[in-house]
Amino acid sequence: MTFRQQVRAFTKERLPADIRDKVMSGRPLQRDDHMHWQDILAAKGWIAGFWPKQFGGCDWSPAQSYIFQEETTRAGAPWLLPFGVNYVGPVIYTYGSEEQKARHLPGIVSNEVFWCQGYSEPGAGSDLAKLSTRAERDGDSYVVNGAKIWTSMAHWADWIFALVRTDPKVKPQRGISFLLIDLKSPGVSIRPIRSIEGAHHLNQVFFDNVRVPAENLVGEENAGWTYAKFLLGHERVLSAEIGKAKRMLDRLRAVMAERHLDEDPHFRTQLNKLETDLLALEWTTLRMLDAVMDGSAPGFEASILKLRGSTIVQSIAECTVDALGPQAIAYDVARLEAETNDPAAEALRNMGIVSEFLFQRAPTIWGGSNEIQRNIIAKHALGLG
Amino acid sequence: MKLNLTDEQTMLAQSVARLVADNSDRTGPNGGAEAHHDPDGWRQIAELGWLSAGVSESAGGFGGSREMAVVIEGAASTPLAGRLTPVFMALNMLEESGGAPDLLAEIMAGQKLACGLLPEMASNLEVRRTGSDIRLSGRFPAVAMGDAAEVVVLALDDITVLIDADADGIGKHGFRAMDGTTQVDLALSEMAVRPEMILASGDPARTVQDRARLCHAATMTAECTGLCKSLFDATLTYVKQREQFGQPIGRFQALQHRLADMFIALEEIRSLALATARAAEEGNAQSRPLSQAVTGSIDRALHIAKEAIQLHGGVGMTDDLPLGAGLRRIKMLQVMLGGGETHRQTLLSASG
Repeated sequence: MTFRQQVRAFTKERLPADIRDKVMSGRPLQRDDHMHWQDILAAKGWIAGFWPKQFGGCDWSPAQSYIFQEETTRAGAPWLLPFGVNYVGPVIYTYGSEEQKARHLPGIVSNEVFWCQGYSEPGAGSDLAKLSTRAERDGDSYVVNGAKIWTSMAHWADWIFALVRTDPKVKPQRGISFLLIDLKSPGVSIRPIRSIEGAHHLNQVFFDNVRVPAENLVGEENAGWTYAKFLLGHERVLSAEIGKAKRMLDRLRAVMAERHLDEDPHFRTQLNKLETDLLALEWTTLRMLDAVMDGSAPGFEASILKLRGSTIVQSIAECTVDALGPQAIAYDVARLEAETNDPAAEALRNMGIVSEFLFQRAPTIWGGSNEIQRNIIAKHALGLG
Repeated sequence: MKLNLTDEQTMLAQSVARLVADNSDRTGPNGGAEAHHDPDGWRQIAELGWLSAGVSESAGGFGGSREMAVVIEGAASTPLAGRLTPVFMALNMLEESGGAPDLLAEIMAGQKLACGLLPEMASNLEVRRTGSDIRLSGRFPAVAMGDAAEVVVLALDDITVLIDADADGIGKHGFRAMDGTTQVDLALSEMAVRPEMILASGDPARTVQDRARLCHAATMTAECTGLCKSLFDATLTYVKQREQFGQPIGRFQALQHRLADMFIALEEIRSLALATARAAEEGNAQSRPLSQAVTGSIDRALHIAKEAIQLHGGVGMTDDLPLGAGLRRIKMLQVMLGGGETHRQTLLSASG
């Protein structure tokens, strides 16, 4: 069996039907949904497949990671939360101390520790280097004061990895450190932010004289910006989410057929454009994957894939709502979250589609907004400074 | 899966680039001397092996779809690209049919000129059968190389026909086209198809037609790649040099973002061209992705060509720069029969 066939068979057999139905209809997932699927992956040893074997991974190549993501998401598996596996884990095994590796990596591989990411602040979004959450050394600990914002899933998380300012007197990028903070520490408070689809996944996280042991500093003090940039490289070939786009296109075709729009010239034109965009994105991803694997990757491929991937998924989500037409009007967040799964419940499915349309406004903003990605391409690929 | 060029393909690309650079004075936007067929130039490219690039080794060539795409991409900023396409199509059709090996060899050697055609390039094409008598009528309103081609290979659904360009029942009318080349309006009226003209029939003829279609799609996407690369490079160079408001205009974010989008469009054209060349290599004539790759490339190429002119400002409007020539050629790829809009109609009309 090829790797693709293995992943496909495993997902088909093990992905719980209730979770798949929620994902397929675009309805918001709860912590348990994510954790249940991730426990299944952890038991198989596939949660951190691309990690080196010595840290609990399977040494997957970029191509295998891509296939894994494409196959699982297309089949309706939840988004594998990246905060531990894709973000902080690789930073710890690349730059962390032996003690940090021993303490933090097993919890990620076993899916027991839930991480979140503390980057953006109210005053530092696209201009992230201007972040002002302070960490001052006091004996063998840091005292952290400040606030992070747009912190996805912080209310479900056990730990946060945060960029903090340890030296306010130097060039902004030079005074940042990478700190691991236990969210149960006294002085941490989390306030929910409801987003436009009505769900709660975003938060504001406040630090009020939070004492963090100095041993939780990753790498060197004031070198955090380097680790933050390294972290971004780890999601590059995965940022296009081809499997998810294919899944969403399947649903758009189903809704078009249901609504007798499959012969409608406007919707056929739209569908064609989206399919063409996805074809281009898929082959761009394959080309970039090829380049990453033979070491000739130019380095800005992440920006192209992020920019196009986010836009395409966003457009598919909107087109699906357009195809629903007046059936998209009924939208009740409380019902969407409370009611049990019933894949036959068309009203709930439709609300899921609306929810996804609203939520998909986020990917063009997060992870470095698409405007920032254009800046990166202009500067690094085109030499326009 | 290896997607980058092999060493041999890279050498071929370099050889094409050298010849194009050596002849850059002859590639003016209005075609100039290139408006008509240039036998000496043609023999030169035959000697360099370009014409063998689309034919496999077993049939006396040295290449395949990727090699053919490399040649077209490299020649894209010259009128040669448009002239090579019908010849590559004819070569692909002849090789697939196995019908006329001597003719194939003569075309590869540059001694004979042939032009490959598909039914979607015609209006009102009609095949009338009375017993064993077959007659062809219809019009191919814009045939590149039609002025010079000695034979035409036509891939119909169930027969592949080899036609002498001077046969009875063929009318030819040459005209100057939007891209500066000479095109021929080729009319068939009750032209008799004699048995010896049929190179393949039934399933083999369908295979020939599939291959011709793949070849055509691969040449169009490769031409978009090459054209857009030069349009984009010229624009990038220009915004770094041109100063307004006391600085190079490339420092302005509004323009940087447009260049970033052009760059992405170019990368996506490359991806679609690769997808098409791959499909051609594998003989996978699945029509939806193929038509999407063609329309997707041409739509993106049009965007790049128009942005290139806009970002050059007034200079972009002058015929001294190759920008207008690029726009004209891409627009022609879009509107010609068998081109972008034909593929779009296929996509919109096919069910499923």
